[in-house]
Amino acid sequence: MTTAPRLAIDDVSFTYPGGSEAVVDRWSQTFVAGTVTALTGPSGCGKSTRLYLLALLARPTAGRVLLDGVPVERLSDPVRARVRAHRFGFVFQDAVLDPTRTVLDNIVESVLYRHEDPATFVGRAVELMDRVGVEVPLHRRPAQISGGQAQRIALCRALLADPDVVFADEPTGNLDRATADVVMGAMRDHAAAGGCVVIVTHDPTVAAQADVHLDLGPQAA
Amino acid sequence: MSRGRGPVRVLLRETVAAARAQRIVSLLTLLVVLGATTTTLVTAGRAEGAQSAVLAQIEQAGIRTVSVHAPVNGGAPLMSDLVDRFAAYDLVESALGFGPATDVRAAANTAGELVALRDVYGKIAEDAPASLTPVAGTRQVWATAQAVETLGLPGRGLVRAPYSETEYLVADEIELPMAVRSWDPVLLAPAVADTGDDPAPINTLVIVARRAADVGAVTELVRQELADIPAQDLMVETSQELADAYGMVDGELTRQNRAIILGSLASAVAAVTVVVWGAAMIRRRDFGRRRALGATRRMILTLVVAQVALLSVAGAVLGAAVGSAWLWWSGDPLPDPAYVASLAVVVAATTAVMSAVPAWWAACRDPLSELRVP
Repeated sequence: MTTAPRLAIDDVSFTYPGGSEAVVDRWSQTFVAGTVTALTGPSGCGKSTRLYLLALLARPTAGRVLLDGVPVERLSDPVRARVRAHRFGFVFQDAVLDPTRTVLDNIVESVLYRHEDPATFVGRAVELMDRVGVEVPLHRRPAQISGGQAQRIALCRALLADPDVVFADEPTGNLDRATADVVMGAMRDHAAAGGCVVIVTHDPTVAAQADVHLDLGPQAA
Repeated sequence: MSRGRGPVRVLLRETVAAARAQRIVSLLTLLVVLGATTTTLVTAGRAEGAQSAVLAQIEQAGIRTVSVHAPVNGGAPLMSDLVDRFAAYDLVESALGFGPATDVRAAANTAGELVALRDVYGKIAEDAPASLTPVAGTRQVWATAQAVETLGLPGRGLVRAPYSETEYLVADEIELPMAVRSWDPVLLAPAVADTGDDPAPINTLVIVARRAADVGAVTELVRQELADIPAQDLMVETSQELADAYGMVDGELTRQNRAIILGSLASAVAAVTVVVWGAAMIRRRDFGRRRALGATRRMILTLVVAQVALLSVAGAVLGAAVGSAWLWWSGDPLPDPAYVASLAVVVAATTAVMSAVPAWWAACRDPLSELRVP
């Protein structure tokens, strides 16, 4: 396992537009390649907000976000989009699949924004589906699969292009224990291959499987 | 993983796939554009077809003609070489010169009615020869149907000038140009416009401009060319007033047509904007997800506009076909194919371009606020 810091948060604060209270207040943390980091804490403590700050989906009110030591928090919108497309993978809190497209279209969607041909990733998509134990026809629509299957499809989408960092917001929230273990196994494999994984979770079992566990209790905000 | 087949092709495939996947929105967009194109075609297109027919009718009435009359024994008469000179101008479609009238009657009937015979210089009709070969030393001439009847000739026949005893052979019937139709009954003897040293005197020159709008310029040209002839010896008749009326009719119909097109376009654009905006509202999370996964605003804008453009082109082509079929079926005059094609292009392009407004709104969705679960 390498110890090189992939991502770093340096004295970051964040207040939602129109809000008066900082959701994140002077937070500093490093995230190392080859590790799974779990962020836990009570609802409203700013776990997801921290994830979005790391993933360049929100700009910090103050402080710096460093990717491989380079400050990225003030990059222009198109450059941040390119960083997300080429370096990051996401698993959102409730899968967020495109309901009009097939399961396969949803998995290969992420490479579209890297200007690569999704058709060339079909084999990889099938391999990932097998890895996370989703057995649904590729032409099914999200409405025709279960919530647990949708979440695993979202994980396949996140892992498709072997991103440097995978962000997952409650990836096992809709899964039974056995399936949650399969999902965590896939994320641990990704970390073992040199990826950096950051998970927000309420599940202590998931947190226990992480290499680093950050408990963001009330004192952490 | 291998590199893709090029961003444009990938984007195009995604556009087609998205259009197919979002069936209701696609169908609505297609139907709106189809309806707008059809409606515009059966209203403005029908008006354009009728306008073309009316204007063609007016053009047929000889509004492009400039006639010049001058007495042969005036101070400086018109000469036949003017015909070729005027015919050489780009603004001029054709020029004809007519000599003074000579009375003739049927050779077989010395008490028959007299009919005027004139030399004609220039090509009197598209399919008429410039000259007729004399038969046994007798010049061949054309006669109008009314002249044949007045002379009492059984088809071809000889006519004779009672004073000079010159004989002519009526070779064929001919229709008079509009500008000299008042001369009927008349016989015309084709003569070669002499551009040499010895042109023949003529007393009427008929010049036809290429377009009604050119009548003023051609009239000015005539006045310049004939500046040496005293004004009192010359009478220039133009159809300028008729040409002006043509312009007014054309302008008024074009204005009305434009208003109908603009109305239809505005309706189509408004409807497509509502559809696209509604779809964007429904798909806010979709755009938020795309942004989070790395789509730039420009890419989302391109995807939405390309999707609308694709459907608009299909709708406009179908609308043009349906509208044309409708006009054909109802027996209305069909507009020019170029008009139909232009209309389809304008409707498709306008709706596609205007969809950029809701598309940009969609592209600016903040992924954080769209994806965050409270």
